[in-house]
Amino acid sequence: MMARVLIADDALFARILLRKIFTDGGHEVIGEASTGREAVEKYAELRPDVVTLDIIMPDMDGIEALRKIKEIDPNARVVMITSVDSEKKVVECIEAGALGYIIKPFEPSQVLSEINRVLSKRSA
Amino acid sequence: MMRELREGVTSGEDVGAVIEGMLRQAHTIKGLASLAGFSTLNKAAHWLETLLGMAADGRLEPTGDFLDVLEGFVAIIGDILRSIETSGNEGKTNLNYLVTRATLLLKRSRGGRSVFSSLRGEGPRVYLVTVTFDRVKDKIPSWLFSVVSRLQSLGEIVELPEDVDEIMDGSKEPRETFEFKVRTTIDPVRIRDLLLGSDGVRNVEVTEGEGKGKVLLVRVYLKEEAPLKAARALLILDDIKELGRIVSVNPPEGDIKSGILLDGRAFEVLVETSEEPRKVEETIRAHVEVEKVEIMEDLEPGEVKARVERGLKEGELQGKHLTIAPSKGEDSIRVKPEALDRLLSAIEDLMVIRDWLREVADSRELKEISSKLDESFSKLRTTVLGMRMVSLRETVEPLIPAVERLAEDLGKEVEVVVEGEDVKVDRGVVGVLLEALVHILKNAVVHGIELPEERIRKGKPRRGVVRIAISQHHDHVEVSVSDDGRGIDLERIKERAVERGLVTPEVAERLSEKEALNLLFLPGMSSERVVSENAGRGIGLNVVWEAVRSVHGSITVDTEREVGTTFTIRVPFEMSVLFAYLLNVGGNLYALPSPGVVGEVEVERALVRKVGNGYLTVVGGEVLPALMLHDLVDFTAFPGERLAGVIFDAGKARVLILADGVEGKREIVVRPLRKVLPPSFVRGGTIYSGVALLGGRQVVPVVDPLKILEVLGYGLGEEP
Repeated sequence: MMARVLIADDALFARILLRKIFTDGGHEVIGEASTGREAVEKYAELRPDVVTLDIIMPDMDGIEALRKIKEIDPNARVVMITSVDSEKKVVECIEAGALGYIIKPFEPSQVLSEINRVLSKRSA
Repeated sequence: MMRELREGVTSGEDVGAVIEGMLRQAHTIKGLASLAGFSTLNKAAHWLETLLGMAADGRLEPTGDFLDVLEGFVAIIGDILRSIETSGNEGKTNLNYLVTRATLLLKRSRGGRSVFSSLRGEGPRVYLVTVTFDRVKDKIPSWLFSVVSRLQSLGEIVELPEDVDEIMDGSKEPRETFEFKVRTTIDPVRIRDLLLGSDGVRNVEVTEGEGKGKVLLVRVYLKEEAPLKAARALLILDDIKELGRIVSVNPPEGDIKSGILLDGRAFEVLVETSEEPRKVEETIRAHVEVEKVEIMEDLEPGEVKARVERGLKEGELQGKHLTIAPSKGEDSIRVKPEALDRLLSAIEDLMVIRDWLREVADSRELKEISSKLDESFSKLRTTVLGMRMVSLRETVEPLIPAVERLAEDLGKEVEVVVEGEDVKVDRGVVGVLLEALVHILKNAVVHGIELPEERIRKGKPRRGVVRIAISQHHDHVEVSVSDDGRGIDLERIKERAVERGLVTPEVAERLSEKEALNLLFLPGMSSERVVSENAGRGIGLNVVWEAVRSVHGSITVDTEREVGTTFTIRVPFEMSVLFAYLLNVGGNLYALPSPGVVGEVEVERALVRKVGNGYLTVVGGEVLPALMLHDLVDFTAFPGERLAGVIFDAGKARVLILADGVEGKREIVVRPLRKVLPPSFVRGGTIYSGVALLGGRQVVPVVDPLKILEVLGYGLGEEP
């Protein structure tokens, strides 16, 4: 299923990579953000089907942005972007309502299968 | 305007302005209707106002369904107005159908969950309820909405027959039998009784579980090389929770969150579900890091029990609750804090059960059992509460170096001293005290104590002193924090309060020193202009005030310019149990905590006069302001001729809180479950502080009197 995706990561390279992965996977990237605050603003404006949020970002980190997005839309589908040594943070995010996570460095098939799994969840 | 709204929504425009416009009109109609005594019109306008208000707040989306209901109300209001014009009275309009639909809307909106869900640790149960009506086709639609309304009051309706709407509005021919799935903590017998009492109901069957559920043992193995296994396990668990009721997890969920898994990569779940095992496996395998899924069905009841017990044992051996450390030759054991919280929770549950037994003990033997239970329970309670006691000094002392370092960073010299006896306080209360102290100490160092040069100029010693004094009183502990800094500038406080819109300039003018100081505790009074990192929890002394009040404590402040400031916090030694009055509004009970209540009253409705936003009445020769609880908790309930309630002493004034009846005073245990409280019809927050369990069966929302007073304008710094 084709989805409208919002990508939030402070690294330009990560955003480019994810954009390619999503587009190749048949989804539409409707926006990008490089800070938590921007992510929240763009979420409110664009209302994507799913948003990928980096856990560590300047000007509001991932978990704070997650909480704010959930305030705007409790049914928001949020997937966290994390590195291998942030398990505690990821667990915190899941408890705050993130529906999934993807790990850097990105493996296209894993990214896509996690996104598709999250998309197929009926709204909370 | 309704047409504008529809067009606006379909074209995707911002309908905010239209909604606000309609809101104003609805409000006006409601006011006029109330003055003129048109109760149905009032009710309709009130509903319209509520729905529009929720749309304006963003709590309800303007979907097609919402617009339909809105239009329905608008149309009915039009009808009533026409009828009034022609015949002078409201005519016979029935709001029931619209009200049921609107209530369904509210329930499906954000935050619109019933009081009763998720109170027990394992979650409420799902029942299949089958209702059969008498064979009178043209009455079934209205009987049906009666049943649906009752089901809504019991809990969460998980599944409604698809054609419910059509049958209720008459566009489809009704049948006699309907099936519902309901999630609730109410027991099946009570559900059955409640529904049998509804009009036209011939029979009710209530079966447990989703109908044909069975228990499955699901074992999930994650790939060896998968990183972040615990996080993945949690996500998989969440998916399983959506498929059925989890009976137990091995290792326990709490351990999984800490990273513990079987063999480092697996976990087991016992789940009761009516889904096919294949569906469960599919859902789990949607997670790429899963290597293997094993599912066993149809476990014998004994087998289930054995597995659950084994899981618990293994948990124990892993040191779940206790770690025995006898090495230092001490005669004590270390216990994990969570275990103490669980103990307290269990004690609270037991208390409710004890009360329940006391209530239903009607034979001599039962009464004897009940009194023996009382004795044992008291001993147990004393012991557990004793275990939870913590030394206040030991908790406060570690703060000192941190505070002194903060001062250093700011270029100031500060010495922190702790004086007084060591006092033992319940860990729950200590937690709150600590939070309050940290805030206050930070304030003292950042705002109170001046830079060394300034202090010398003022003739003070170079080093500032912050004194923490602990003292014990007969029923509470007092902790005061004093600094010898610049004191609080009352004028600035008043200015800030006016700036932030918390008081009007006129009121600010007339405040006494004490009242002005209390302004500090209002929300939004923080001196920080920029939201800081800890902003998530709100900043400023309001947080401290709320926290202290949540353990039934109090906080006051005293200051003198250029001399210093002292904050004094008083808290009870233990999390004490509360007494509350049970108020009946529209057939539902609400608990009002008794601290602050000075008496009970009964008044005639006719003697309660509406004045501006509130009411006034005469009690015992005194004119007192009053408020009707109906307005805040259930405005569909209209007050009868006689009202009963309590007199609440709010410090500045006494206020009457009125309801339909007062059903006694009880000991209650409050569970602060903000997420599952019913929506209170109050913008910007809730008037509830939690829920209480009565007699083990009934759940009752607990109302916070100070919040109610705030809402109706009797704020901290204002005059009624």
